[in-house]
Amino acid sequence: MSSTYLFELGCEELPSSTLPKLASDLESSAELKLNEAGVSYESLEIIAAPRRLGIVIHSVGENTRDRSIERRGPAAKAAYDGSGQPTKALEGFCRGLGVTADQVELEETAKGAWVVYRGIERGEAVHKVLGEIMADVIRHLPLSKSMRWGSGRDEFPRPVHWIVSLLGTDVVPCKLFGNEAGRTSYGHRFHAPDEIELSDASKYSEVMRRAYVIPNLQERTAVCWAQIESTAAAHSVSVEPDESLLQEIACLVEWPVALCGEFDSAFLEVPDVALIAAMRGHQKYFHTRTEDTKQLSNRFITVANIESIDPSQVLRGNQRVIRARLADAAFFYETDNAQPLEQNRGALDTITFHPKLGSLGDKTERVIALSRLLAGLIGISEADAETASRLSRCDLVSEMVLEFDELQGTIGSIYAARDGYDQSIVSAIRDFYSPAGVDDAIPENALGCVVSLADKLDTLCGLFAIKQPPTGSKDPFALRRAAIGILRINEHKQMGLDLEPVVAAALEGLAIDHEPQVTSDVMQFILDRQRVRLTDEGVRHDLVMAAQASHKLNTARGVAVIDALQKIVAHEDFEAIVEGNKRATNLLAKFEGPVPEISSELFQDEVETRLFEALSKSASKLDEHVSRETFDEALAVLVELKNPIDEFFASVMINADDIDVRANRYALLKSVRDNIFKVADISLIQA
Amino acid sequence: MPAGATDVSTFQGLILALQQYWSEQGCVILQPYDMEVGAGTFHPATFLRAIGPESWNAAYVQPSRRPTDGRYGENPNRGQHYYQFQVVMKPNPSNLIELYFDSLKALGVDPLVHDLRLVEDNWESPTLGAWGLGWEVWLNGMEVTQFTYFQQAGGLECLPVTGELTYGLERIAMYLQDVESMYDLVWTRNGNQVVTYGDVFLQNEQEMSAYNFEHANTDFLFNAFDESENACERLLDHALPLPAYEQVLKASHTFNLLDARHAISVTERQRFILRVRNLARRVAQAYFDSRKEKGFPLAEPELRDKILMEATA
Repeated sequence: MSSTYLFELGCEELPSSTLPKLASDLESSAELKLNEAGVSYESLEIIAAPRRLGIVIHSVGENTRDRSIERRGPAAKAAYDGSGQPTKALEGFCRGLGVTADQVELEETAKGAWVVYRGIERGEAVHKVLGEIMADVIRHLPLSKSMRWGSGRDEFPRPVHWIVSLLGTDVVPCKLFGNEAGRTSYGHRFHAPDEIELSDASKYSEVMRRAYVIPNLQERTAVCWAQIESTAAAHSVSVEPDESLLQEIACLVEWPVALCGEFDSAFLEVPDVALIAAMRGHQKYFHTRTEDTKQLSNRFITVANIESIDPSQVLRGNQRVIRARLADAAFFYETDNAQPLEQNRGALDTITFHPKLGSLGDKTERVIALSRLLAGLIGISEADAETASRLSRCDLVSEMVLEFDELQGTIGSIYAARDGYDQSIVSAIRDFYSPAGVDDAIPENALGCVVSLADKLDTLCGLFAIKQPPTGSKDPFALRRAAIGILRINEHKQMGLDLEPVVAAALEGLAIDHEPQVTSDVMQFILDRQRVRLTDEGVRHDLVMAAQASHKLNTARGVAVIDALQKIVAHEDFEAIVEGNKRATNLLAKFEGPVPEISSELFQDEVETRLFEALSKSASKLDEHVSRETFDEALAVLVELKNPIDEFFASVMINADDIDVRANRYALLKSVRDNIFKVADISLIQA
Repeated sequence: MPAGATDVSTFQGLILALQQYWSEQGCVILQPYDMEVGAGTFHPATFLRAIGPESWNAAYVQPSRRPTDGRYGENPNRGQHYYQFQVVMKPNPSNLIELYFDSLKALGVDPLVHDLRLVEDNWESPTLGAWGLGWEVWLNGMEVTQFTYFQQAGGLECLPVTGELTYGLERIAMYLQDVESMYDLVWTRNGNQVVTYGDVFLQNEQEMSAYNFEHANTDFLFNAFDESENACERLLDHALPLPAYEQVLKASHTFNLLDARHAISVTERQRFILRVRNLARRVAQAYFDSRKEKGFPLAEPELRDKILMEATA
């Protein structure tokens, strides 16, 4: 007969930032360990709420599964005496397993014959193993930040108070953090403060609901959202989904009760982003919009952890807090409005970017120079690039960003728009920190791409120049992320630059002495990031290396080559080219002295002429395809060289007796390789 | 109201009610430390008593000075001087959260009316080399108390753990009295006469802001910082951790004043913090040693014997 198993660890309020991870780690670890132990069950459900972490396992099998076992015993020599009778050693082995000597077998191995027992281990009663499994799961949960409490040495994210371990109606022993498991739990801290005796594990959820607790995180999240939406609707406003805020709220309450409060609509003069940041960041409120015009409304939704006997007092308190917060924001906004954004530029000179790399003002000037260079390269206004770069960090000394640092960029763009700058400049200021992460979008317009690229290259080159590249897990300036950003931005259709001269210019612009090695270190760092990024996406390592060898910091071109290579690499004709290239490369490696220019007068065989003509024809086509980055076509041109190359190898004796004829044949081989190299160094491709 | 005659609708009544409540929980009721400190944690009754195996329960008001928070008395919520009510219990009783919420009930805050929440907040003091995990306590969305389980103090592992509660008195009083500015708080009533927080402290706030931001002599302060550091080291050489700790407090406050005067650059700032932390660490070790020499008289016998044995092993 199957029954429900309940395990609940009662804690002081667990951190909302780690509760979801604790829940998912608990789930995967429990699944794994239950399976290893041969526990069968229908489904499991995770308990994750501020005061509890645990699991409900439905329809647990009465016994663990039978398992086939194999046990190695003594060597045959030691197991049987001269007359073939079992020795003491074999008898001992059998006794340990509870079998008789006629149940074992002999197995031949490289080291001789050994006694082996193969049998079935009967499953155990599940109540004997569940407690230990759960204790094991809890003890091995990965904890990012744990603490001790009282006089004990145990560690957990917050102090642990009780353990429930119940199979059906029976307590299953389990000991953790100095507590013996029982059937006593607790409900909501204030609504149900008394002990709760759980009689039946399968009734857990209903009992907890009566005690004002929704134990399951997903369910509680859904209840929160339903309440937030319906509360908004009841007040004629709407809310927008915000998964991370919703999850945080759900991790802060056991019994969600959404309430709608309001603030003085005079505050709506302040930019929406600042109001939202104050509501969301500090107070964990959902902001709302009017149903008709979708404008930010002066109502907010807060989720309390209490069914208050006087909700108006809860609301009054929250309204007081948000009023003070918004009054601050309004004050900051008014202060900022007193002067144009550009006037903040001077103050950047007083803020250190890095002791060895000067102030933020210094950095801004370097970014201006680099942005102008990049703008020139892609043919957009250098003046706009300068303006956007100059303004890019000016919001850092605004009162608003000093209060809400997550609004950097956004506030700058709002003030730039206020000051009458063009939309492209406004967008560039808004976007230049992007992309912040792998999934984050790159800047919307080319100007934003230029400023962002300039800024990231300056940081990257600066830190390398002063010998502070990332090491191991230490990357305080997030240079790896910056490099990924550089690569992604360079893939924007208006970019696609060869970054090598830009890196050189960035290092030059630092005006600090650095070793010549730094240029190649920076380039290699960017190329390494590209390789990791692409191989993580499943691209073959050798294809990346082949493309990078030819195109270096022309990174977008490298990606285009890889795309084309992936389509053709397994093709038979292409493999022949790879093979031909390999032969040419190997031969050239052995050639001594400089390879001369090809001279058609030295051709002895019409095969040589045919190869030469094919190469001449393909060279100009290849140049065109490379510059237009039409690499499918470029590779097709290479494949067309298959026959002339094969013929050449088949019918020409390369190491001819005549020195000049021989050298000329090597010159043809070099031309083969050079043509191919225009597309990629396919000698790096593995068969 | 268990606090009997105390009237929590005044600022001083609030303090009296908290003292009464925590006195009933077995705490030593202390008076503020008579030196400038940035928070109640700096009082030796918290920082030093958190070190070593000895038990300790105490509660006290601590006037706290944060020169950079000065607003010349013009900000209703912020000032360079304010009050904390500090409770420390070591080892933390397992029902410390319940004791805390009961203290709010003693102040008339009904948890079935108000939304009380424990919101994750981890505490770290770079100057004291101390950290702990805990929460900020929200009362209808307003932070009213910091709740911390000390894990380390002066670089030493805290065993047993000290539970620390820090009530922001002005905030709680503003809430209970329903006023928008701390200067409007009723400090006490005498018949029809009312004495406000402003009557007691507004002029102080204005003048001290001017001192902190405009008049504090930075040359003198830099010298004073060096002198405190030297004195601390000399006192440590004489195995006098308590006066040495006072020099840490002086150095720390001097640093705060220099910070308010913008006399320390961003890079230097980190170095000054490290200098104070270094002193705090050495004082912590010296204090531990001095208590060990006395045989940890306030420790639970079992724990004392264990720690003494570990120390000699």
